[in-house]
Amino acid sequence: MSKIQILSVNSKIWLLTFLIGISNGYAGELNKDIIGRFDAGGIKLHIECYGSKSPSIIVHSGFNGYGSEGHWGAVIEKISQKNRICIYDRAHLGKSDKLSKANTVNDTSKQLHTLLKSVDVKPPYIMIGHSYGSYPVRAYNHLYPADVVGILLIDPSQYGQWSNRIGKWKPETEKYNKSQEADRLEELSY
Amino acid sequence: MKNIALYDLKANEKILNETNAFRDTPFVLLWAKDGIWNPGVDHGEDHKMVWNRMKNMYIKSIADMNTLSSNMKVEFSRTTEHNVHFYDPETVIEQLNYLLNQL
Repeated sequence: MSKIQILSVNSKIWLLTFLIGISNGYAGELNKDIIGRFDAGGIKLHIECYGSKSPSIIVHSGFNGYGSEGHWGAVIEKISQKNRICIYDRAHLGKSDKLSKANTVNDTSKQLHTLLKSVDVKPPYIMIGHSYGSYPVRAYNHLYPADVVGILLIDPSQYGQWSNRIGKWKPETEKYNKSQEADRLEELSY
Repeated sequence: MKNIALYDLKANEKILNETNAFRDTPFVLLWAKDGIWNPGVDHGEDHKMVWNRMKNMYIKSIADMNTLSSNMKVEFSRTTEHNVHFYDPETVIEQLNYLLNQL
């Protein structure tokens, strides 16, 4: 093999490595402006923010989901070039503190409000709610309406969805078998 | 699905019933492709009352989602997957850019 051929092969290998690096983009290390566990009012929650420009975009994950799962990489990679985007782990999930009792969407909203203050991410916010994340988005918007300037709900839980599930089983109207009742109780249990 | 995050689902429903909707806040409702269930077919004779109750509640809750803001639009993603942001991030990015341009 001539020197020119060897150089050509080496160039292709470098080019390939470079392209793989680009295509993997968000799989690599993003520039995290904020990352860690911060005070959220008597509890520490995990938050990661990328980019710096306002309005900041705040991501609410789905049922039992949490921001640090890593599902938002491709969105973060693009959006953080324009605006700040933050993911966080709700209480009792991911890298955040555990709870000793049940919590509501108002608890979640107040914790997030304190958390964002702790990390100095100021309003206005665009709120994203994926699936069950639609619940805390609505509660936050109600408690702090001046903070929220845009809302994106992604394949959301409809409001009222769980009263549907809770109201589904009424012994006075129909009878159910034991396994159906067990399923219902497991879904609602905590 | 196990409720591992200790959500008080009953209390949450009551709280949300008493919240304001989004008024005129720019709002995008992005469904997964084919994400709206069509409850047109009855479930046979089993638990007919339960089925009808669920069907009617679902239809109403979907209709209510379309009235949350006076400044809203409805979109569907290119993926049928529930985790739209993972399987079709481009659509999510497009909708975020739309919201940013509204401000």
